[in-house]
Amino acid sequence: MKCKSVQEKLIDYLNQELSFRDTQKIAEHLKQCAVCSRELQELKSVLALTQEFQLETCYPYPSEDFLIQVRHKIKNLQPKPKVLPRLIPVFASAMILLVVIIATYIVNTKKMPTASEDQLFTELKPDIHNVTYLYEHLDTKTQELINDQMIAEVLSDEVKQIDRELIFSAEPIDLFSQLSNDEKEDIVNQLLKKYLN
Amino acid sequence: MDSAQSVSRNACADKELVRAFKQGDEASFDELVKRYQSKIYHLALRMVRNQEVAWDLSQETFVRAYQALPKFKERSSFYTWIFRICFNLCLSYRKKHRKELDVLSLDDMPEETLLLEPIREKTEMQPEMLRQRQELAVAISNAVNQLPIQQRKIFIMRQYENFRNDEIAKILNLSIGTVKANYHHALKRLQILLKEWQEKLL
Repeated sequence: MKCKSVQEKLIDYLNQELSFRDTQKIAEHLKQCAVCSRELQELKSVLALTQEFQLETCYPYPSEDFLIQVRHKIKNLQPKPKVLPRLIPVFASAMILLVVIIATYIVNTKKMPTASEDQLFTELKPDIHNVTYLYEHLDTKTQELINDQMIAEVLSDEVKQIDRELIFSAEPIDLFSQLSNDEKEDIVNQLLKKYLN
Repeated sequence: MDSAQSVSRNACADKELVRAFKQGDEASFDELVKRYQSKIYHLALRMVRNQEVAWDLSQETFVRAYQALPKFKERSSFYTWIFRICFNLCLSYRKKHRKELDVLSLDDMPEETLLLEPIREKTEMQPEMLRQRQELAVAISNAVNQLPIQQRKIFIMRQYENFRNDEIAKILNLSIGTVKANYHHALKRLQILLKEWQEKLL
């Protein structure tokens, strides 16, 4: 084994994260190579130095209060209203409206100048209850698409400034439910616009 | 909850706690809060740089997690998941308060600033020893804060937030090789920056 590839694996070796075979190969190499042995010692000593510390706990309030306050906030959560039966007629009319608009749009596409598109969607202004209801009844994949879309469009400025790479990974989080009503309306408007195009 | 149950919750893996919570065991959620409140608070503090706001946002993270846990699909670990909830909340806070944040003198505390303290020993320590450890904590914090941002972030996540390489790779959207290489470079650089301390103590 060459020194370069041994040195690349030294941290894994220290943390016992290598396969049995690699561990043996490196141990053999270390017996014969003073340079790599010294490298190992140096890594060991810097790790030892940094290990006895933890992130500073500088809470503004006593730490025991944390859980108590979290529990208090959970207790105060508003129970979700049962929107389903109440919204069925609203949802049905929204869908009919949507179909009519799509049909009108398709029929008039050639005649309609592009400038009137914005006007069309301003008129649509979906009611926020419909929007939430629609969102909640989408399949998971579409919900995820909407979330990605939101991340990309609504947070785009922020994303450019901070770590873009941090946004597009791990389990998708239901950002939609965290948005304000205005933001939700904005998103759905954007999506409708996109789909209809 | 009797003490035997409490002890067994302490030993439980996150996965088991999440499942127990999904089946209605509220105390499992408390254990998850206790387990991660400090790490989540620190993430928030590093992102918003204000103790009270970080306190609120980290609590809000757990409230959101409580609401969303029944739908949590466990495609990532609980910690990675909650880390991202907090990250998104902080992001959204920063978006709303961009102007105020700009006004604050952020030069004093750049993003991803590390603040360390000695792990509390069970036995009493001599005052001189204690002072030395506190000095070392400051020295290490300063050294880490001099690392390039990516190395710093990876070093903090790996060393002090106990993420594995694959989890860091997933969160930062990097390859595991890049994470390992950055961690390695960070250690090499720290070794140079902390040479004096190593000679003094080891």
